[in-house]
Amino acid sequence: MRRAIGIVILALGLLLALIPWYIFPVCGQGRFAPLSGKKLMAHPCAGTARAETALAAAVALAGIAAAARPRRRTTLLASIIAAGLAVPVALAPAFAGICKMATMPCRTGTVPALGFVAVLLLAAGIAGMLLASGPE
Amino acid sequence: MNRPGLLFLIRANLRRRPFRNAIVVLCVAALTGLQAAAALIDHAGRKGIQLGIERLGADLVAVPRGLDEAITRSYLDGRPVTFYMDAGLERRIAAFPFVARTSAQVFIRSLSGAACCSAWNVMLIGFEPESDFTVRPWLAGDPRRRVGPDEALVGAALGMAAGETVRFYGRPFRVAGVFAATGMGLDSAVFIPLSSAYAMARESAAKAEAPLTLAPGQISAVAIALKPPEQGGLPAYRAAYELETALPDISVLQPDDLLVKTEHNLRRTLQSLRAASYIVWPVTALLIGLVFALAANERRREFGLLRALGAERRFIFRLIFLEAMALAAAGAALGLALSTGLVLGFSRLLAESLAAPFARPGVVELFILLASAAALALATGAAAALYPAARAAGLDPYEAIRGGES
Repeated sequence: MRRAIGIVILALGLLLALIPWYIFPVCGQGRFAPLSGKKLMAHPCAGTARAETALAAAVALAGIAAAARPRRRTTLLASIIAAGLAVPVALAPAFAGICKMATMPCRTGTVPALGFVAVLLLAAGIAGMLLASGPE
Repeated sequence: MNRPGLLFLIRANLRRRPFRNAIVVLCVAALTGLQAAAALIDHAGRKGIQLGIERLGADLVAVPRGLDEAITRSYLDGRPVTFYMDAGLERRIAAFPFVARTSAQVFIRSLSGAACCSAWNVMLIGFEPESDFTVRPWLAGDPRRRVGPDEALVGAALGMAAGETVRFYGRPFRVAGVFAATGMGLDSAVFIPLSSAYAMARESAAKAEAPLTLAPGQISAVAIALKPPEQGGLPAYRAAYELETALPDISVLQPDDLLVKTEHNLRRTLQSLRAASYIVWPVTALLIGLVFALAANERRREFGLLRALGAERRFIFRLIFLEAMALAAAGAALGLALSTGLVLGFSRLLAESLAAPFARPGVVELFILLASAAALALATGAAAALYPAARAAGLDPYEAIRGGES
């Protein structure tokens, strides 16, 4: 069961890395692509994509550790990291930059998806902590 | 000696079968979530279209022939559209005896990825401040306030504040007012005076990264207010027919068309969600009934002992029944939290992909919508657990203990 928690945390880390680039990509594509022949002007939300990728790497590493070594202490540590990182994952758009218009792709797709993953990370972290509090 | 309480027994029994209980909770969550999502989307769409039609303000909108579908979609999802017709058509429309007032509008798309535009790929609507009866009434505070040539009124979704300076095609505008949100595409539109739109087009070759092609004699739409019936006015559908018959260059959009289009756009999604919930519903009821019938059978000896120790039939009934209700309540809570979070969180994405307005429900409306979905889940749990609970309660203690031993 502890290994399963590690795998869930790892999967959430991978999901977090994929969301801002592929699943709900930040702005600069589709309707909001640059004029033909013009270079892409960086949108403020590009900062959020980079910050979330860094957070995703930390979450994935914690997941790998918990999955590879499903001891009580490792699971507890990975769960604390996952639950703790849920807050910066949810708040990163506010600090790392986001577009102003509520209809931009980063506001309609990326931000709610990141919020959803943050909730799942928190839930997985709490579940892991409860599991790790049991006997070895 | 202290007797174990009902809640203690329920908690202990639920902990014994985590996997079985998780399956039941997930089924109830799916049922509740699908029902709640369908109800939320339906309600938000209807509320949004009501607010949007009020915002539109006109009885009819005339556009170039065949483009009524395009403007309907743009009003609903905010994707900009551009088309033009001869400005002389406004005078011809105004000459009809059933028309009270007309006001011309021009639709422009802002550039994407261009430094000369503050907001990319948004709908700019040029309106005539002198004759307008659709835009200014929505200005908070003073609807009769004049809108200057270098001023703009913006929708709530643009995230701009009054007093801010914005640029379109290199021309600066001061934000004079921000409209309240309706959930319609008009929330992401910018309204500028018609004369400024023409000036902006004239100057764009020098100031913007790409020129705006718009001649002074061109307009995109005519907002029409009809006279009341006692003053010779016609119903909207008759007036639309008269106008389209007499002027073959135009199509006439009635606000009711927006309602029809919204219902059409939402129909398939709502049908799918409801169909899925109607499939999950009997499966959930059957599963709960089966799980508790099996559990009651497995626990015959336990019930027999409880009865022998003095527990009443009512106690056994409540034990089984409340266990089922606890699982149904947990499933309902999970389903409601997931569906509400996802639907409200992704509301703009849903509105865009369904091409339908989305106005968030108020707290009381939300409570009623969610309570009805939860009531369905709890009723399903209760109905499915009734028979196993009654059967367990009806067991004879001696037979139950002997039967449990075999």
